[in-house]
Amino acid sequence: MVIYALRRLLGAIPVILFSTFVMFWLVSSINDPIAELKQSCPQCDESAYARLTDLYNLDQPIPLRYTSWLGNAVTGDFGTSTSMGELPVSDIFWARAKNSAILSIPAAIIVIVFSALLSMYSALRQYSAGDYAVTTFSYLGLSMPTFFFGLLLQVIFVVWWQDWTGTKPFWTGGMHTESFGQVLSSITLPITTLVIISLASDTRFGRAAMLEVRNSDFIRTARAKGVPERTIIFKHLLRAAMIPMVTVWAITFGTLLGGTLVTETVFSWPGLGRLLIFNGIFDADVNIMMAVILFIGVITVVFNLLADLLYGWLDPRVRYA
Amino acid sequence: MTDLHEPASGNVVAEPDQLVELQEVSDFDQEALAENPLSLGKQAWRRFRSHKLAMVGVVMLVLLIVAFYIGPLFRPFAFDERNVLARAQGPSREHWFGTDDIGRDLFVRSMRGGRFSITISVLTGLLSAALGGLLGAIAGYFGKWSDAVVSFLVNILLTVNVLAVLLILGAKFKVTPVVMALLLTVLIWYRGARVVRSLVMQYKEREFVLAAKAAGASSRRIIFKHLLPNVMGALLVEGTLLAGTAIILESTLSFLGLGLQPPETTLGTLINDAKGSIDTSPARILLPGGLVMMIVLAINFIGDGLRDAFDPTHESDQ
Amino acid sequence: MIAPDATDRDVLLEVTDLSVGFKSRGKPLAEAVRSMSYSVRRGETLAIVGESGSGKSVGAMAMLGLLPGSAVVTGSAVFEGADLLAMPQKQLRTYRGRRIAMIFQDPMTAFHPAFTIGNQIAETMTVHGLAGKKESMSRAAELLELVGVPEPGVRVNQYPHEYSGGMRQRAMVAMAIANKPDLLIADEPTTALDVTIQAQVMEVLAEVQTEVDAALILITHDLGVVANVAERVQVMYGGRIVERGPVDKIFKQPRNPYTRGLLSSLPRVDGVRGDRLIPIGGTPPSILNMPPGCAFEPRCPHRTAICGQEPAKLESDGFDHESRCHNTYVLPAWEDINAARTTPS
Repeated sequence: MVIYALRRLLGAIPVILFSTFVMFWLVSSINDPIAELKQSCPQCDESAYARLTDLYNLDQPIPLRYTSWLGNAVTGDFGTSTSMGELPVSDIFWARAKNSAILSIPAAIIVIVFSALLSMYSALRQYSAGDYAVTTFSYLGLSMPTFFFGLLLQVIFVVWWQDWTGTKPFWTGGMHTESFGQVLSSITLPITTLVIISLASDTRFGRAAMLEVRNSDFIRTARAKGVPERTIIFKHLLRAAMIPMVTVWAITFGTLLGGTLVTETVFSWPGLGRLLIFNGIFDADVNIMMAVILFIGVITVVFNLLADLLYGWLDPRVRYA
Repeated sequence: MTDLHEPASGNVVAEPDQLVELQEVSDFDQEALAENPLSLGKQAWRRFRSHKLAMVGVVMLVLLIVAFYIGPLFRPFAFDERNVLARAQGPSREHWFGTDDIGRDLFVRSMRGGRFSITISVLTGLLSAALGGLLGAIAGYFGKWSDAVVSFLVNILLTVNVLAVLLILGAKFKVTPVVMALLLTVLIWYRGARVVRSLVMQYKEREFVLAAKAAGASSRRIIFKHLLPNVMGALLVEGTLLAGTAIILESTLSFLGLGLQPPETTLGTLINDAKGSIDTSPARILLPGGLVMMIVLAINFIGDGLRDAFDPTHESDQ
Repeated sequence: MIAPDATDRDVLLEVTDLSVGFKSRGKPLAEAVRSMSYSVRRGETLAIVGESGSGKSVGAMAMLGLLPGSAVVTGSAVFEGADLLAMPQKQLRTYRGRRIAMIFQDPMTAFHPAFTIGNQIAETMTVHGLAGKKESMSRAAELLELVGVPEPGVRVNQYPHEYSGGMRQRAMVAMAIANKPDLLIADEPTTALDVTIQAQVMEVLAEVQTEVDAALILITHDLGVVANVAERVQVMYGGRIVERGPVDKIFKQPRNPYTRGLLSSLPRVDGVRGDRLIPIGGTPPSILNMPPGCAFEPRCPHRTAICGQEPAKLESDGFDHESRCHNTYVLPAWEDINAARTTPS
């Protein structure tokens, strides 16, 4: 299996290279720093242009620019930021990454635990009122854009709550770390946003997976052998349903780690997502953008690979593929 | 947790689970065995009609579309008409949804925004289903090289952050609805392709395909005449999912500030404009957002009905 | 009702008026099995023959409580003095896999894909407290050897997908006899296998049956298998038993039009070139839409007016051959019909 993992990792490298190159090419072709400088700074002289050219290797064709960026990136040097006062990108990056992790990691854990519980409950109590509630919840969650849900939470728990009770237990946005209480009150709504949306789709999937297993022949065989119901549920059913579910969880984890963009915007959270959007894209700070994109790309690949490995580990039929 | 399995004398009234015996003589097969069976399409249509949730979805969608197109006719305001005197008002008899910061009537703007949301999603759904279906069929049927290429493309897409690309492009170019649909298509077609590819791979080993091959049918004929009709059902379902995803993506994009250029608007842009006044008039956020949700819900209901119509053996959600 | 038998061993299982229906939303009860009664003696082999939809599998699964929640089961199934259909789940569980064991049709899906074969066979023993972990695993290997799985010591730690179809079915048999049950129920054990493997598996089944001294209910639609293995045959159609008797009599002197139809549609080894198979026209009825009288009436070449109005009762010839047909005594002689098939034209 180690060989399988290595083979997959090796296969993932060209994918990362290709996709980062595509992003780089996209941004480089679209953005013309020289023209922008001309527009924004008519009084700037030659040296400004020269610096810009030097900074971005603008005298080189795009593929070459990419390779030099890549060469630096591999050693951990992501260049300097142009939108944040020439600070090294790495410093900015890790600070923001930590902030994003404060939201995404707890959210991922909660999603995994609750989707397991809800799926099991729903599948074992099919057609009950509880099952109905769970599937309705899944439906709604899948039909709602993340940003709207975040805003909805803000409206209910900040605006209306304040109107009705006069208190303000949650912040509308921003990361507040002065006290633990402040931390809690600022992370609750964003984490809830992340959780609910992922939970909706994971539960839907998990429920379907469990139902399918519940109706399979080997469960019937186990019953025919005289295995007690408890064991059938927690050993046979779970073990078989775990196979697809664990892979979905791995992918969800990866998605959450790399996908806090929208939530951070809604809640003014100083994380990687906002860094990408406001500094990387709006301010056309190529180095920042590439750093975040690379990070997201690597995360996606790593967690997809993890999903595949877990699948191979759990399902003996696939192991020898 | 009590028994998985209700005792045989239980009082649970439910659909009979699939048993070897029952499967053989389900209504579905009955139809097929009957003297003059209805075509697959007609059978599916009948099942769709009887799916309650899908019907609700259809009604919802129709009502929404009608509202979006006819609604503004009821009000005397143009969507970009400013009225500084009536700025930032909440809902009232005059302005059903209230007004924004420069006095534009929000009801008319929401209706117009809804129009674009629907147009973009339908367009994207069609295009991505077509593109995905075609590439998926080719990859599934011809295998090897074409499969490898398509798989590589899909892997790239998965790695590339969809939203980021859209933002980058949106930051630079003026986006018209058609362009938006194209962009969204390029980034979500792979979902349809995956489904079609796996279906085609299963089908191509089936006897009816082998028979066609033995009779000398060309690959193109086999794909278009034999495989695609069978895949059509799944593709239709996938298409509705893609349309729903497109709306969510588009509204998110607009919310982040990069959508159609003003004064044109979509529902997402309206929400973006409104987020500053969340404290004073949350309705400005909730109303367009609610509309988005209703559109997506309606599409999802329809998608569920379609899935049931084409594959009645699959476990339903309710 | 006990059918008189050549052997005079004890009655092991007595099924009386077993009926199984399925509830579904908005539709009337769909009856899969209609008032079926039969008995099985210790050590004997009873074959239950029928097409898909005849109710043969459903009846067997009903006894072990393996039907889904939408099933409504009435009647009684008395096994060694206790009614399986009336006992609480907890008690029924002590019978499953221990006194009564089932062998299912598709061994690939019947085994859990993520546990080893040895593990699954051993589980049969451990859940009934009959052996500890280590002991059950070594016993599992012994069982695999008994059923003819090569390299049992190695194979016992392999997964189901690593076995071939025939081996998997042998493993199923091994699993079924692990606790030396008194009754084996084999539901179409060879249907999913290649023809050449079928014979091997049936042989194994017969061997272990003798080894363990168990009765066998063999459910199948394959008459060829029946001829070789069974002592008595019970033919089912539309949820009812339509004919029953010793294998010889059923094959040589069938007294029910459906049975005759089945036999006529079989190719004969002693047939002649140009001999055509005579299929039964039409299709079996759906359990959602049963004819009011005899279930076979729409397709029966010998039908009369009364057949469409009311079903016949199962009548015995006074000895060991029963048939359910209004016209059972006025059917043309089977020898004549058959002779036409074997006489060169």
